[in-house]
Amino acid sequence: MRKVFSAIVASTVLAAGLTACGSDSGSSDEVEIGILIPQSGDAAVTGRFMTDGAMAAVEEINAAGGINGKKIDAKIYDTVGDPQNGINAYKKFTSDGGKFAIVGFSAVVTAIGPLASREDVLLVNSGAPPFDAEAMGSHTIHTLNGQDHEMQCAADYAYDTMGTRKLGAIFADIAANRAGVESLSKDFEEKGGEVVGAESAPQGSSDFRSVLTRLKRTNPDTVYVYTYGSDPGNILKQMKELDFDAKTLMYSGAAVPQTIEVGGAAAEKSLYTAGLFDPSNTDPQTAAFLEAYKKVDPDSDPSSLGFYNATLYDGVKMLAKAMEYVDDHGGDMNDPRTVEKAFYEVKTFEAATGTATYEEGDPIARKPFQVLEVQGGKFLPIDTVEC
Amino acid sequence: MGQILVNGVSQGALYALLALSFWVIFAVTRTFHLAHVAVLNVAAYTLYWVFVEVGAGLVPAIVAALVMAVLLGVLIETLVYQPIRRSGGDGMLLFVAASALLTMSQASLALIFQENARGLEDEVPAPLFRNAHLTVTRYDGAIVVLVVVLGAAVWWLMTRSRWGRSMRAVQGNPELAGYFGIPVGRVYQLSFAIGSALLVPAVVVMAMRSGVNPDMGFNPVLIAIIAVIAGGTERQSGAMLAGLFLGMLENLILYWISSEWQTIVTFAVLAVALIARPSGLRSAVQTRVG
Repeated sequence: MRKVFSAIVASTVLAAGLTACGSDSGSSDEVEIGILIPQSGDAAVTGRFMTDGAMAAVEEINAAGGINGKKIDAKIYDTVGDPQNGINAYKKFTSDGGKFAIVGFSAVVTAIGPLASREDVLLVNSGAPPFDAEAMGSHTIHTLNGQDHEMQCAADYAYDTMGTRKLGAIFADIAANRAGVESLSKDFEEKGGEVVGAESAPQGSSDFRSVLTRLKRTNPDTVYVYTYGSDPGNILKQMKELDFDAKTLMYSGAAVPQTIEVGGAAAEKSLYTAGLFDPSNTDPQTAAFLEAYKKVDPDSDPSSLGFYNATLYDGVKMLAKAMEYVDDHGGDMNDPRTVEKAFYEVKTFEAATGTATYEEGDPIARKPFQVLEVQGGKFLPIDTVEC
Repeated sequence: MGQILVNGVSQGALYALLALSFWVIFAVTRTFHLAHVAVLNVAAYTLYWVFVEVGAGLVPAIVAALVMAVLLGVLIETLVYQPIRRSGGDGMLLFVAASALLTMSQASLALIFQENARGLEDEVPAPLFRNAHLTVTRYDGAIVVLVVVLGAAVWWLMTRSRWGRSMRAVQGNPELAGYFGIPVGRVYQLSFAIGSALLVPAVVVMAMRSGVNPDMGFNPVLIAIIAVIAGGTERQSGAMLAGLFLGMLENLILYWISSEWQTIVTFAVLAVALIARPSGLRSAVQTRVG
């Protein structure tokens, strides 16, 4: 019911014509890119991080002269993070003549991906780890690791490095997370491990004790946690309450400050697979991102920036590089299908979140993962995983 | 099984306390006060703000949350519901107003504190009891004691005090009660004050255990409302027992079947119980949906 209220409020805002902001239609000296990311609703905080990252890349590229002299005209469309508002935002974007969009949030990408693929629009998904690339649109390019790849890395790390032989899992009761845990279980069992229990709970539950009690009875060495929001922190805290002392390995979306804020001391020593981003790195991509982000959000603390601050920055820069490649080779950088092909031809993209590579016909980037551990109330990288 | 039982009693006691807080308002005023969720959320954030941001200690934080809850509950009744009733607005209009207040409060809290959940306690407190198979936490103990003490206090208030007799008179027939000189508006305000105050002990346990977030009150209060309707809206004990039953059921189901069926089976059992004994629902239908 709460979502119905949110939808009513969001629809009112949309009806008032506040879905898009930015300058009016661009000229031939400009390339238009839509940023279809939540600006309101439950997903607004993450959405604003992502938008700042995307705008940081736009400003950096424009300050350097644009894409072969063409400036990027970026417009922001509020998808609220849900399918219906996502479709409304997409329709506004296409009625404005948009052909290239940076997107995130799996519910939105799944809703608009098939439309974009039919309508000759290129979506660049830089915010939703893809779990079913076909469902997200046959012409959508993903600049993040796929869910299956993360699950494979998690299974490898749990078995090979953590020494786990009996694995338990707890996940948010939604399709993507269920599919992820099934994929993880398959990978882990292929290595010779045993999955002793997999329990689900509605995302946003505050009480996980009974689910954890069930899992505790199976005596796992490690519990894999695949949920987000306040859930991971509450799960860690309630495991401590129940004296359930299995190790924990969590999905990348849980590696956010909220987990430590809610979990408190119980979050110490918890482990996370995460996209490769470390603000203390000194490589040129990370340095460029930090400098560009500071211009968009001067109050930001560079040491607190995380993967989801950087991933849309990378998405815009990868799209710009593909467009530049097309232009350099005499093609039309305003043609979505030509730019889509260029991702496979460029093949390797250096990015702040790790080097991304594309294999012909696979629209999902492959990037390395890192493993983070909470130490002293902070996420610290302790390992990298190539799988 | 022992741990599942402890979890069920603890969860059921929380629902029973929330059901009691909603019942005090609904039984007297017949107002479907969905904005009760908003009062819970605002009280929780007041507790968080005074305890964590101001650092004033738990007792001042609880007092501040209590004041804020009572003030907000009474203001909603006085400034929103009473004018609608005076102008002849029906129950549906009151429900729409309550829904608007709820949406506004959630959006405001998200704007002020952002959507992220905030924790109140860094350390997990030592348990009351622990052995190899069973842990009883301080939160479990606190919520059970609170529900017994506050349930008894409300029973005494409603059956033994002068104000309680006025509330029961208004509950039976507000027009007739007014005719005999009972200040119906004041009695409504009093029931909102008591119902809102009763939220605070539940808020303290919820916030200390799981932190605060702008959505924290919706699901528990929704289950508490279901408990009030299912338990029979005329009886305090019915509402509280239904809350306890739902909490126990949610947890006991896990002993036999997979967690993914928990919500479906809980509400299927509830539906079957209501079909078998529909008096709870019947009394709800006879009331104003407002």
